[in-house]
Amino acid sequence: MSNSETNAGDASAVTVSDPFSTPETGARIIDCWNSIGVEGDGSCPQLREVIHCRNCPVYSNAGLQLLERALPPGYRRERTEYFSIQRKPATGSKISVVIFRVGPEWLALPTQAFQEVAEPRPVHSIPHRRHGVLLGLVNIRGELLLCVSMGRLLGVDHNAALEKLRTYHDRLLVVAWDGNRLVFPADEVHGIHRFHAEEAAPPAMTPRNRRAGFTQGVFSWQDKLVGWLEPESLFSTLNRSVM
Amino acid sequence: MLFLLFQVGHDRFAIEASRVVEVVPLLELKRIPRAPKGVAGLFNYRGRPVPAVDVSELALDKPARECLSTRIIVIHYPDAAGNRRLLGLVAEQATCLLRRERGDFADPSVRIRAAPYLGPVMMDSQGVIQWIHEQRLLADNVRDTLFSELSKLEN
Repeated sequence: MSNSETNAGDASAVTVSDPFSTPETGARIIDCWNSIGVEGDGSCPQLREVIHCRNCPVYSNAGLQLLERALPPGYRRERTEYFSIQRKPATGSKISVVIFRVGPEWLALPTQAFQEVAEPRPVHSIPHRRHGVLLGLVNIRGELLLCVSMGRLLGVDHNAALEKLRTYHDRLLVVAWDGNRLVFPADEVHGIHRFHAEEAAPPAMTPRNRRAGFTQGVFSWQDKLVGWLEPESLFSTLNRSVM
Repeated sequence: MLFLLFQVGHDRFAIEASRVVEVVPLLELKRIPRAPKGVAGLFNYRGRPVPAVDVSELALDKPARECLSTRIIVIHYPDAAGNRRLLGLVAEQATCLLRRERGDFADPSVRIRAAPYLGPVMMDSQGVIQWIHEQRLLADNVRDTLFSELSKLEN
């Protein structure tokens, strides 16, 4: 390129790299960031003010000058094709849930119900209340909260064969709904997942399926089916059952 | 308020960013034969035919340079019946945003009847930036030509 030849003797100008040359405008980009900036010896007095070259107007102006180049061949055609495709209209907002596993079941509850994912810790059982949904009391940041079993409430089997599924990722989930805070153990917590309401299918309604009443849908996630729990009825039942 | 800056010749102009639908690269434009001055052509904007006006040609009779910083600013433009239509503005150096308040602009005290779209001006270290009222860019006859032809196309 003729531009690089004319600049050959000029040490302060970029002479080799193609993207730096702007043959259309004839403007030369002074790459001060490579000599006195963060990529060079750092002696630029402006650095005291801007800290890093990327905050410096000289640097961003040099970047803008790169856009003064002619359109690369085929660019207009390619961009035209790209922008001719109709954009899918955004369908509603996404639903944000936290996915966790209880026994063999992957379940999801709205993210806003969650307050904390805590390390497992001892659950102090309450005398005469050993068989219900209530597991006991647990100390979360100095506060004693009721710990419930999501597995028992939903009728999710916790048999020995499933113990193999244990991956030592069990956690305590601290949730709050309508001002009531509860803790329940989960065998695994994946984290936050977002999906569209259309992606969820209605739950399978079988008489023996106690989960169905609390499930508002089922969606697939990482080739697994996740039961999307309905927080309103779930938490009101939980709160009633621990009274 | 946020403004999108662009250049016409060597001068800088600003339009309110909230009026901008999208800034797209310089796409292929289908020329419209015998179209009024400043009309650069039609382009396919996500499956819809949208007319484009070359702001440089409109103001200086000189079409915009073909380079990467020349872009098409897609805005809403009211047609004669007041319906919102899409319009592309081919503008040079449509690369920067600027945050300024309405009070930073002053009346230029110059009114050009042929250019009712010119608004108040603002000064910074690099010179003057003039606010463009994008809703007044087109003369009525140009607007009607563009949008009546298109409504036939769309129906």
